[in-house]
Amino acid sequence: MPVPNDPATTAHDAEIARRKRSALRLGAAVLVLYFGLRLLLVGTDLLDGVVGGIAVGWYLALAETLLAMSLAVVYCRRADRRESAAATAGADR
Amino acid sequence: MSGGALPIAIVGALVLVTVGLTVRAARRTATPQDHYVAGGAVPGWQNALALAGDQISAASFLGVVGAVALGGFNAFFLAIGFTTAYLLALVLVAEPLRNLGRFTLADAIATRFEGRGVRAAVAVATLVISTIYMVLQFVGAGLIAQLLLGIDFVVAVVVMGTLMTLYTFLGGMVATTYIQIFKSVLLLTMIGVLLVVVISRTGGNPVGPMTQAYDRFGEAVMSTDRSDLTANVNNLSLGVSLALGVMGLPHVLVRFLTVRDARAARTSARGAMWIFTAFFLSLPIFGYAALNEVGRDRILADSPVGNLAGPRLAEVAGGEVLFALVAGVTIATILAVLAGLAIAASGAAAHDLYTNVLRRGDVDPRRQLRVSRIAGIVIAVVAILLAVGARDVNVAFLANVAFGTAASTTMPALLLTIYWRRFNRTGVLFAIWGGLATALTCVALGPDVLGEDAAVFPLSIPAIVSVPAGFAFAALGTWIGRRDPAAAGADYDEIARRAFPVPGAPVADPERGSAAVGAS
Repeated sequence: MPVPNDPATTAHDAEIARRKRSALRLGAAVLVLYFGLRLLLVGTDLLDGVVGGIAVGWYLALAETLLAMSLAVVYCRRADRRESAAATAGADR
Repeated sequence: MSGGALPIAIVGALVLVTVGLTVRAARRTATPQDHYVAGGAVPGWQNALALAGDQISAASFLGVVGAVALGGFNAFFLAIGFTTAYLLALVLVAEPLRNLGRFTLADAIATRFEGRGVRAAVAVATLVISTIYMVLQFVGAGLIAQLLLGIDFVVAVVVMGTLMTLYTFLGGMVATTYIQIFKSVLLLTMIGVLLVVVISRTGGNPVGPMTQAYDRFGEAVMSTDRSDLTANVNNLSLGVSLALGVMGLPHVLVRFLTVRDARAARTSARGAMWIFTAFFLSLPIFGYAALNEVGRDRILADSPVGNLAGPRLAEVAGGEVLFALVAGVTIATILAVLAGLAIAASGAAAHDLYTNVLRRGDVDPRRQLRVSRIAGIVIAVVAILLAVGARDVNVAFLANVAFGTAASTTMPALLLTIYWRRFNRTGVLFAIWGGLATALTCVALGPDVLGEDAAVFPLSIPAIVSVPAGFAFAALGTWIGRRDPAAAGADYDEIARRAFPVPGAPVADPERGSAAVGAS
């Protein structure tokens, strides 16, 4: 059972706060990019145009998809590493 | 085009395989845990395929290809965004949900806010969302079977409903998982074959169909149409619906409860995202290829929204065999999605409403399993009847209603349960009922129900209004209930330790006794 003011519990709570902050910041950044692109597309002609026979917007669609995929890969790697490190530290204790 | 023997033979063969998978799964389904979450032991990569199977539906394939063929770049808003939506689900809810939930979405929220009111609210929202989603799949399946196979709409819907019930009745989540994996592999194979055939006709250039369409039809197929303000706001609302709706769709969220641990939950979401990336990036290529090879007039003659552009493209580019493959896989795809929906809906009815709300948890596992199976049959009958009555309703409209409702109800309730310390039981109830009322009222007063001229609410897609309303109701309810100790729920710090465990750190876990060691 977790004990308040116990160093292990305090460390866990600090880790929780850090993970929640990091998830919410990443989620907010992704939403800003996602809606920013859509607002620019429907509200302005900044992203109009065709390059090599394909709309600039389709290139941005590819970029958005690949960026989301890359962020997912990085997020998962970091989370896996963090868990492995914590498991090792737990075993050492 | 319709009623060929080969497409019917392929559909028949695929159905036989799915029945075989169900019989096999039935041997592994003995407890409620097996039935609802496949024993919580699905490997991450298998769950990735199943998760992808829940999302890449026939509606996506048929709808997006048709939308690009008829609307060019304007289909961007429908085609792009699922990978980002799943990134949000991965980062914000996948792991905490896996760690808090047991069988259903209501379980996860009730971990913090136990009580019959909260469970009932989440279960009703789950049933509404899943039934709308089920009806749209049935309507789509009926229309496709009618047009592609020459089978009567009502017969097709009843056959699909019977198969869906058989899968979930006998094999539960285990069968659903097997079928989703089978469907995902089939669909990806079909997309790969179609892609190879299509791009081989433009000299092997993967984007050849796009550049060819630009050469033939000019800038009109490569630019955004901004002439209609309502259409622009609808596109933004669609963006809200797609990005946030995934985090509230019960049949998708339940998938995160079928894996062993948080690492497998992450592997599932990441693997599914790879599949979405391949799938959704191919669809614009098919859309432009259909415009070039099938032609706008022929696509419109089949369906005013272009729903058959994809199968028509397969027919033109690959002959009857490829057409039959596309038709067969499309039907199998719908069956698999229906099975996933049936599990989520029967779980809400049997586990949440019957076991926990009506019987206060006093139900033995065998009875719970039996009630869940009966609930599956009842839900299937209701959805079939609704689908038969809704055969003329626009399928894309129903999909938007389902996503919009999820984004306005279960999504804010789940997200705030995990992340907001001051959130309380009154806030959950306000979020669910307020979000649900707003989304459904917007739809009822909108152009798809009242018609363009009589509509009080101008948008087809309510999310841009109903999602902020869902959060506002959550905040209002939390403020109203702030002084009620009974509304506070479980200690937030304990919930956070369970949601975000650290290996080796102590965690209070009522499911496993008073204390456990965090294992994520």
